[in-house]
Amino acid sequence: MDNVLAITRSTFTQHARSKSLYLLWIVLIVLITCANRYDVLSIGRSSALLIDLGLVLISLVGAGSVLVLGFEVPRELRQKVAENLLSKPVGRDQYLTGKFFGTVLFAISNVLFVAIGFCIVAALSHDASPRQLLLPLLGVIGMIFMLASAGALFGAFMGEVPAVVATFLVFWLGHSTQLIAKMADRSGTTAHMVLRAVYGVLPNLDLLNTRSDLSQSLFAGAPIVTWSYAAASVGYALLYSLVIFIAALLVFRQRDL
Amino acid sequence: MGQTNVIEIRELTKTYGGGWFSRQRTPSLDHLNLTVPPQKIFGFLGPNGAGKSTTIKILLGLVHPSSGSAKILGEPIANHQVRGRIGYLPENPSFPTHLKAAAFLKLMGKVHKLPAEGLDDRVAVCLKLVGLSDRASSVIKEFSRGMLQRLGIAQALVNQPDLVILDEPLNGLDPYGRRDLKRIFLDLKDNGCTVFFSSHILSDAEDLCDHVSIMNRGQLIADGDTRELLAQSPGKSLEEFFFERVDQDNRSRFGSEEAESVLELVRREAGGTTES
Repeated sequence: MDNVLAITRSTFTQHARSKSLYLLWIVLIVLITCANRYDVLSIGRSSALLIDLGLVLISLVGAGSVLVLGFEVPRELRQKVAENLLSKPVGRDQYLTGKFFGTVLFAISNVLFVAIGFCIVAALSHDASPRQLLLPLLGVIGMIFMLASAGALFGAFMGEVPAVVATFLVFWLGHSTQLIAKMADRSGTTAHMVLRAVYGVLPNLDLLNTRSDLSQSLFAGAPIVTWSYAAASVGYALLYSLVIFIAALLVFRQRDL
Repeated sequence: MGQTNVIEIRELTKTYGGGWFSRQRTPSLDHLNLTVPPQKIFGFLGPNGAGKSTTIKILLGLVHPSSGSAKILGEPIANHQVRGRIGYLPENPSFPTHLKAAAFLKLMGKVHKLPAEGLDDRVAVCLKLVGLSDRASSVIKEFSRGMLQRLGIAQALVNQPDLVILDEPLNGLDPYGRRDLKRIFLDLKDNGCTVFFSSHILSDAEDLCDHVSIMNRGQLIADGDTRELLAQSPGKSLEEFFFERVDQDNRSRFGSEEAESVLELVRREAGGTTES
């Protein structure tokens, strides 16, 4: 446990020192702040637009932050940083778990940072309540876990670039699962089976994406996203992440470093 | 620790696959048997591709053997807890660049579960030993190649190991660094530690090693007390002995034509490193 904590802390510190992170934060805050100038464009729906834009950016920050895990593990293996650490009394499981939680913490802290900035802007300039963000934020955190586990799996056996590309594909296709299901229903037998298999294996990130539901509920004035739905979708995300992460550990145990 | 061998390798074999779509298997180690006695400086020599690094990585659990077994400090290599008694320096090491030298050594100490109260002192001792006391607060990314090598040696010693395994430790060191490292090796041996290192720098190996093993293309071709081995070829240096044995082995295993081309390659490599 101590080793996992030490690696988690080191991974978090390493990510947090990245200079590009500060630039990202500044850009995001500027974008969100500018959103309250869209009154005319949004035809009176600036509140919904602000929420929508803010949540898209928060989601992208979460995904971008967690993508580094797919890059990080193969890079450390190539540069022999991992080799040095794993030659100590550190198990491979401990190493990968530390990397996983360090990256997840980093992504969650980024998401919370941007969310807090966004809430301040929303509270100051619109009637949108920061509390309305809570449920979609839970979905983003669920997505972070899912992508982190996918990044850990791909990083466990691929090179840096393929692992990041594969993790990004999971993010992209994971948001297109409903489309894949529709395509499966309209396809012939073989294509139907393949697409259904892809649909079954991919994380269903649409379940966690309550952004548009929230902005619509603001417009309609009726709550669409409920706590029970949020809890069930996050439960699904954590279970899926656990299964994929266990697969990542099994693959990583077997590989030669 | 008694007189139990610190490393015991039995019939160790490793073959690498040629990739996802290839059936070709490349043998890296071929039924290797090797024992390393305690409290010695042990030189593990051989040309590039001989299987030295693969052997070391298998001993440390970084690479899985295809067959055979190995014990390290009396424990099977699968037991990762035994690595708490080992210090390791990889070839061309790289460390987390965002950390300061002292912080990195402290992290390594924590990973080795060293008690927190004496850790700062131990880190200071290790940095002093490798001549990096004045760079304790420097970030690793500012370090030169030689300083990284010194830091690598410091991290290998932070846990006061019973066995130190170093893969090409003399690479990247200037003459002062090499002199200091030889002194560290001798001090370690005097304190009961076993030093197991691979090297291309045969003159240094001859000066330092009580025992040498020479590998070629995955097989052990010479092994024994350095003086006894050299007595088999009177008047020859370790470098000359090395070429003679590798030459003989290549001729007997691969025939004269291929042996010539391999030998030429070996000579070029060894020539390059001995001049450095």
